[in-house]
Amino acid sequence: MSSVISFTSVSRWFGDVIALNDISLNIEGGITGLLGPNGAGKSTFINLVTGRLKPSKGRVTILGENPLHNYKLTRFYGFVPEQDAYYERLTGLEFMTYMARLHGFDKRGATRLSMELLERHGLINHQNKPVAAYSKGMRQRIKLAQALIHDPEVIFLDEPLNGMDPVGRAETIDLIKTLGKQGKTVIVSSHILFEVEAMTQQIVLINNGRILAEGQVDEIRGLIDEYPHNVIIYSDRLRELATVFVNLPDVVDMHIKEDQGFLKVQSREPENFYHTIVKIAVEDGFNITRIESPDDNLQSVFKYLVK
Amino acid sequence: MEEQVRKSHRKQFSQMRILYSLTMRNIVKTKRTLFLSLIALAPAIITVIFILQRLTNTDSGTGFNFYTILMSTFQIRGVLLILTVFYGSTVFTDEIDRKTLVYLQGRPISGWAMIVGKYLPAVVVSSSLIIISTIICYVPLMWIDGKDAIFGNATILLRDLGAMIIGAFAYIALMLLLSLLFKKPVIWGLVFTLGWENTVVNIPGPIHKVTILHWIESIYPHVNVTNEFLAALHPSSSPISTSIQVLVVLTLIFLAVSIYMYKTKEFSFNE
Repeated sequence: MSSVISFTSVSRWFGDVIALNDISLNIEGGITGLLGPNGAGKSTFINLVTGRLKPSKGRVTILGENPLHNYKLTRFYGFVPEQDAYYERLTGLEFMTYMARLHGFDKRGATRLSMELLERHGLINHQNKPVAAYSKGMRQRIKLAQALIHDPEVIFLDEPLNGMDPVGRAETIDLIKTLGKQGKTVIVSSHILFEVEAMTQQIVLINNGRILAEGQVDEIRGLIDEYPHNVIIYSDRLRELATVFVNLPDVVDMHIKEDQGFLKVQSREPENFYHTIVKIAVEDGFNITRIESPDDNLQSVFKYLVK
Repeated sequence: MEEQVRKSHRKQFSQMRILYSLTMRNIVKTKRTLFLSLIALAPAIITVIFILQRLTNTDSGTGFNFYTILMSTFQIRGVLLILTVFYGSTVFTDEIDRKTLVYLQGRPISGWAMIVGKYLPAVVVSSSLIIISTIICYVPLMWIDGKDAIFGNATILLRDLGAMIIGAFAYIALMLLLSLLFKKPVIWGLVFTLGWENTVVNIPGPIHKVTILHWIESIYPHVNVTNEFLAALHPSSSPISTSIQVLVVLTLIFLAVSIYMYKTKEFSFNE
């Protein structure tokens, strides 16, 4: 049985710029996070799989068919674009109704479906307002709603949480998880690891047009552990501290910056290393005034990984 | 199998109608239409000036004569061209510029339904403005020649409108194609219509036949009037039936190439 989405040795370049470089990948059902920094090739990936771009090399299929300019395939997938673009003069209900009617629903059916989706996305009380008057969060929600109007099997979401408030974010994450549970294939692109992590365990890590890793979040985290983590420690006894750290097995590199009053340590096991710092500060009486980690959140760990 | 094909065509016809409605919603109440309405009203303003002058000086000529000059110069070589350039070259590119094309690309709309669904609203809006503008000039100018002139010259009015509407179909199809081929299609369109068309159509010999304007003016009823100025503008005309056929064929070719361009072009935005 073929995969829902399949890339076979796919490259795509724009002039001299290589946006995707020899990618081979199969995506099955459920939610898959497409994770990478801006400019990594995520949008090119989605544009190729939705038939908006032609691969320079290789073959792309969705549900076993070539998506290139294949308008009939659009019945089976929905797309939430990254751009904050709308038919601004239309009301929310009109926008949804037009989108439904363009999928072949009659006027009555389109209106009913539109109302249902506006209700589900918390926009029913704003149905008669022009989209131009919607807040950023409301605009994001209606963008998501229009992609679901024809109950597609596959849904592509390009940075769907951009600009959403915390409540909208949580609701959208829940909705995406529900879609996954319903058996839909959902591809979510994002540049923020914890956002993707909140939706799915299945991740494709992409950077500079190449797939760095794919698999479960735990496997990706395992890869993260292979990379050293920077910790900056401020103290008045830098050389003595360095003597202690140099014997730790997880420390791979160290630089003393006496003029700036800190020690920069690279550790392969940041959690253990933090425990060690606390321990020696308490037990050996080191005066550690400050600890900094340039990559002390998941997002920067991710950035570090794709460097 | 045939039944399936028929069903598919019916469905695409329905898609085209919905797209037509959506496009009309997006082009009627716009600043562009307001601006183009003012352009379309320019001949009416000239008409008012002529009538005021005529009230003080009866030697200014007949209303019909002035109407003929106005239509042959201002209306067909100015207003028609400007309206068709602006509507034809922006009706599709607006979707690209506003980044809303992505919503249409995500729906099961075939190439022809997409192009025709965008093309027809541009033709309808341009033609409506031309019809209103022409009637606003015609009625008072005929009125000053006597009430009978209004109905007596009605066939001239209808032929004027017919020629300009056929012209709108052809020019908008060409402008739509230009917008799929080039960036800044409005500038290309204005250079083509106000430059090439308006210049080459006046050149005697067969060369003026390479303009669309020649074929439109050949079905225009004012070309045979005895006026030296107008005679200089129309070196020679072609038979009406041939002219209509040429314009229909050109329109269909422009639309067919536009559909091909849409089906093969990449509209995505790069990262």
